[in-house]
Amino acid sequence: MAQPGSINDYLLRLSIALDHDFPTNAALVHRVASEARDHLEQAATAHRAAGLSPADAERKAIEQFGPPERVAGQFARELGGRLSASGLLVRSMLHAGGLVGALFIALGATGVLMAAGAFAFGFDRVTGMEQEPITQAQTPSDSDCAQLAAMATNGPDTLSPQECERLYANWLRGIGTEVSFFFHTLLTFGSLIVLGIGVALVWAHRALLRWHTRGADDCSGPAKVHAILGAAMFGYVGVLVWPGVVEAWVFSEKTVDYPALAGALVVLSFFLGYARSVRAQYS
Amino acid sequence: MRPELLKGNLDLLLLSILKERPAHGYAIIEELRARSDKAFDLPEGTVYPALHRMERAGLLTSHWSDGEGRRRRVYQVSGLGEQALAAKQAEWQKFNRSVRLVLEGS
Repeated sequence: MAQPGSINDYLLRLSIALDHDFPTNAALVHRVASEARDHLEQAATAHRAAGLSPADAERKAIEQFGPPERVAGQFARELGGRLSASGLLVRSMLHAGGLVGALFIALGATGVLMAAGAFAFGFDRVTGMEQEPITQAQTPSDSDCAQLAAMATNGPDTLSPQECERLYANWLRGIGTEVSFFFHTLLTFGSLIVLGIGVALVWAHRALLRWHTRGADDCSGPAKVHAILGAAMFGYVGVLVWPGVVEAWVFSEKTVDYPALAGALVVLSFFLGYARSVRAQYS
Repeated sequence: MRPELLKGNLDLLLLSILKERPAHGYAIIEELRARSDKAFDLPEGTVYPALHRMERAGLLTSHWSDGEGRRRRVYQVSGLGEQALAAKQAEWQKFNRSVRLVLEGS
């Protein structure tokens, strides 16, 4: 924890002030904080050489640099500062486009994995099937419908003839799946992998931050917030949203949980912001 | 000297200092203070926004430099900056001459 009045404390306040004025420009905040650190440390060294105590030397260096809010305000005036409302809207739309693309990539990748798994294991050789395998006849039998209803984990217990025919047609096209054990295993492990990547990234981020700031990672408060948000987002997307959305999409199109999907989009937008922040932090 | 008197001339001073050799922020401010016989004693943090703005405008370039256990951002004048410096110097000399003529005539 930075001592009040110390250089670390000053840099924390400067980062917060800059983050307020440049909420979408983590690279600038990081660069200015780095330059200010170098400047203040060099100034404090010169003051110590002139006979001041270490604490007084830091205080004088900070005083000569100016109040952090004033410095941040000067940056805002010189560089344009906060984005306008329209600028934020455009940036949000770009984020939205990116996250929709990411969602499609995730769904597509899941589909590819599922297809590969079905190809490897065979549709009719899966375990956990308590009923007879689906017949692949032109029209679904009653047992086919019961089987499809059992697989539609987010759907009704029984299917109407129309719904059964639709799902059956999907299944014949290879969209619907009877490889429930494989599917659930894939999603479970896939979710854990996503969550694991998230946790690893957050830890790597913190470690890099410590190394980069020579142990004084408290100069980047916003980055900590991003790290915490990132962990929460990976967890939410990885464990809760992704399997549910994919499962609903694959098994029964009508049961897609749109509120959850909207939540996932919001969370993903935060994730993209986090990823961008981390990238900018070390660029 | 009041900092607002420097408004409009800070770019000229920074370009002039950096034209001689690339330097990081602390060295630039020290040079500014020394050359002006401590007359230009600005709040040091307010020089960095000007450096960033000038870099964005293409008048300066900068890069990180590691040395003496520190990581510093070193600024230098670009080709466009040299042109701007020449133009600002000419403008300043003209202004300076005009002011002197007015003052001497009073």
